[in-house]
Amino acid sequence: MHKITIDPVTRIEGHLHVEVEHEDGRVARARCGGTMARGLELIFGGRDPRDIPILAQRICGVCPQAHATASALAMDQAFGLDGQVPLNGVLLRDVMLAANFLQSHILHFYHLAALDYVDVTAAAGYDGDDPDLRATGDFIARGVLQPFVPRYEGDYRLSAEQNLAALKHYLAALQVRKNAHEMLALFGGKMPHQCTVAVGGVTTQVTADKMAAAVTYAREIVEFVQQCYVPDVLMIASAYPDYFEIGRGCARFLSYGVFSEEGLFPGGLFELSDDRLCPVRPDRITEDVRNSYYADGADGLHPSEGRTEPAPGKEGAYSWLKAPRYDGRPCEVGPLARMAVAYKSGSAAVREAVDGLCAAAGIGLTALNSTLGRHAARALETHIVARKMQEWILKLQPGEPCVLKVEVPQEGQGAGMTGAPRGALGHWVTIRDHKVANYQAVVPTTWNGSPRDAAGVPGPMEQALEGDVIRDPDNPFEVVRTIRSFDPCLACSVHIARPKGTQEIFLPV
Amino acid sequence: MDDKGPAVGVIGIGNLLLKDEGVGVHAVRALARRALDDGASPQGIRFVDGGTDPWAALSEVGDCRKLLVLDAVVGGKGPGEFHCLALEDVDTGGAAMSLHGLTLFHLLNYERLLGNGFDDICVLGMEPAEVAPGIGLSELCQARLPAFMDVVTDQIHGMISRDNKPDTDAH
Repeated sequence: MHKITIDPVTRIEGHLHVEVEHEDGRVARARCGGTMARGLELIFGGRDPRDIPILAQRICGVCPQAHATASALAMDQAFGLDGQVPLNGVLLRDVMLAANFLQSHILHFYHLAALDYVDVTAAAGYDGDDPDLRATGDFIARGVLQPFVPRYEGDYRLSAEQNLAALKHYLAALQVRKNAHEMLALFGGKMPHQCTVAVGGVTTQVTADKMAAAVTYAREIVEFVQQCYVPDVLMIASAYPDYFEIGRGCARFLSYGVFSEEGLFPGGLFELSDDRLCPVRPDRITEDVRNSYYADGADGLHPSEGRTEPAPGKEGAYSWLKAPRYDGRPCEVGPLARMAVAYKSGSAAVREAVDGLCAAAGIGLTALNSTLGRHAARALETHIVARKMQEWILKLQPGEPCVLKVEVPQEGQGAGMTGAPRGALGHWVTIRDHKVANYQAVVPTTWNGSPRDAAGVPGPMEQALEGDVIRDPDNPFEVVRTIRSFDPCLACSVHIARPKGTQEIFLPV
Repeated sequence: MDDKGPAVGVIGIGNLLLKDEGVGVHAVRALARRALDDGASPQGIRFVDGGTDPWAALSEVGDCRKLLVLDAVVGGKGPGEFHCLALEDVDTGGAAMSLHGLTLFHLLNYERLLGNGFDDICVLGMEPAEVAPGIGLSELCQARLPAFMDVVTDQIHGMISRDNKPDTDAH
């Protein structure tokens, strides 16, 4: 059949590809390449700064809310509004971002990651009474295998009942995701792409009706996470305990902090090797281009000073991503990084959740620096955010203002440093003559998927892959599991290069 | 589902920040505006700007009987040319490695799993001339937009008239 591609490439920030060289059944060298969201200054330059939080969410379809939030925070600062946004506005931004976290994490686990461990074909022969599973079995029997295949055939270890239980939750998760989406729409005016997050707050009104509806949605989500998501991660952990050993990252965790509740998910840089926690100093963030397709001589510069002169075909380069570094070294971002930083900072909610999970899984804290640990951290974060979201909704004050009246300043500078579901997100803006003069965004996967830096040190995902076992080069499911644990923000493909690099097998993903 | 909403849901998807990649969004917005200017709310049709979030857009048309998707289509016909495709003619893009890899067509299968199928799904697209950072269509695609809107309108009417049941939608 003649196929036509509706090109998904440009709907997203770019493609990430991972190339793995293996020797003696292990990953000898991993190289992550990708493209990045540069050029925002071209799009936003010269525009009214008040329009940017609405436009910024169009950067991405998976975390639009995080981009809207980061943009609004950057503008608040540039407009001189820090600390003045009404409480309702602050809370609503948190609630809407939380809804985005919940739907993203739940979707990522059930509809991408879980299928690496759960064998969905278990439903094919289902002859029990559950109507959903029967429908799924029929679905598969009719040969409609997408979205379940193509997949990498893993070493599926769950029992038939466990597979069916997880599949049942997979279907339930689709509905839960919808609830999170509808909850966001309550305060967002319209969906997709809400239109209420603005400079100075949120342009909506809080009513008791909306609060009641939001709490109902939130309660259903909390129940699902408590009864399905967290137990399912533990179930997978009990069958795949070796994945607490596989996929160890760079063990330096960076979080800018996310949500306004004091002490819940604070920012920080946590280094596992010497158990040290430092506050984040944005001026210590630099980017290297040694292995990236940009002209040499721009290593070690702050993103705001960085030079982006494309040099396609540059010798030795393999990525369009620059290599962001903190104090010159790579950092992992994402739920695991946020949980690690918050745990070390003494966040009560995070400590309780992490200690509980470690006890239930029978592991020590450092085992969380792993493929499975990233999934566990994501599940716990979902649980904490869902519960906190209920509290934030109940703190809203009906009838009180949600947004400030703002005037565009002649000049200003602002940074919006927060978290997207998949890690630290920063937006930087400069305003001149009442217009946007410069705009930069550094997205989470730039950190995790970064190439080697000027010193030759691999990026976090590369480090997590190197040394891992590959049993069958034609079906490198171990590599796929580790890549997915990072929840990369870019479409991704895996290449396996044979040791001599003569024969490259392309694996459709 | 007995309680179906409008006959046809029209979703425009694409990235508004990448010029012609956003042609589906530009088209659906223009169609919605034209319907309003005509003074009558479009009976039996719901227009949705899906932007970069096709799944959320699908949630917005879950009660429609038929689905029309407007998008940029790269199919070797040349910039500004139109495509009319049935769902099975569209490359689904294979399995997804990241959430970004989930295409509309994975999502439609999820909806089917949930029992939210559409009676009829059609994709109308325009070949982009320029996909690069920037807001607004290229001159070429902008010039082709009115003709594209006419094709979309014909398609909508065709989908409605193919509807076996009389359209009793009280919208």
